[in-house]
Amino acid sequence: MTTEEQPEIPTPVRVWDAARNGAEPHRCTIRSRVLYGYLTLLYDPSNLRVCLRTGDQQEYLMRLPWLKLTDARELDGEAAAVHFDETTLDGEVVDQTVFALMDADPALVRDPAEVRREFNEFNAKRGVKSMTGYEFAERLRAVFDTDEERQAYADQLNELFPANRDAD
Amino acid sequence: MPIELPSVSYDTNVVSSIAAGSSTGAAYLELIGPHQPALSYFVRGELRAGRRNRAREARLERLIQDAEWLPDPGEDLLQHYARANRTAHALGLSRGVGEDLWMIAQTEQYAAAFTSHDRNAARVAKAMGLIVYTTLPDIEADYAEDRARLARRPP
Repeated sequence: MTTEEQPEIPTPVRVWDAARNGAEPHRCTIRSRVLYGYLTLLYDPSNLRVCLRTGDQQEYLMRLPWLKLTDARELDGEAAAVHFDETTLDGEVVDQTVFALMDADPALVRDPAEVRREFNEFNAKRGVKSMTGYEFAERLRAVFDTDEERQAYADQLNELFPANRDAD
Repeated sequence: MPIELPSVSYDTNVVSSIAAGSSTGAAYLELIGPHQPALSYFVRGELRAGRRNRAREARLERLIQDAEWLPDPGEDLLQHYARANRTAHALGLSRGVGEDLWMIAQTEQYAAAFTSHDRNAARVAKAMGLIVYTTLPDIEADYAEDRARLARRPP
């Protein structure tokens, strides 16, 4: 497949703040279908170069406006190595990360109790105090000075939703 | 020993109905009012996307900061996303849930309950075994059909 034949991926992405996730290298097990979302979660796409390698095979998997995919192959369920080069604006490689692409590994799923502890500790460190849904609703409504403002905000949020949502 | 109610991960559509003070919002408050709300990174982003006025922004930001958060995404989230994605696919909803799968995945990762007024998101979350609070009608009938579908075609 040539560069010109790359399929477009029109979905707007949600870009995660890479600074908050740190720049340490990651090694993980992911499925090819989550690659797109995962990249945009962990890295600033504006300075990310992606290179997919599977042995000597060199084909483009996809092309995104801000990513340079130099070699890849169809990854549907197959194991493959993925090299992510994070570069500076002048092209210097500052971090290289390797992922293994394969089916989800149940061994990597953590104990729910441990995860829950992490959840509680995370919020304790943030200094979060107990808040009920009622209190959240009261404070949310108090954000706005008028009913019109409240409705306008709700309308703005509703515009984010795709058409499959049930109408109020 | 007191029973700890699970935190409830809010979908943005529930927040919007509460903000609007609609009858739907009131119905959701009856369901989830006693529980602690938890905001995923996904919903925090959407809530911030809807703000304009500076004073209002500051109040909204304080509320977001004071609320419980589902911790920021890491590698573990991918396992849950893969499961959510496979579940949506098995239910024939691959295109009907889209980015919400990240929110559902994170909710599952942290063993929270989920509230949504999006039928497809609620169906996927329920099929994954999450506690789902929704006022959508006929959701139990959907659930019975979905379980039967998953029995034929496991995710």
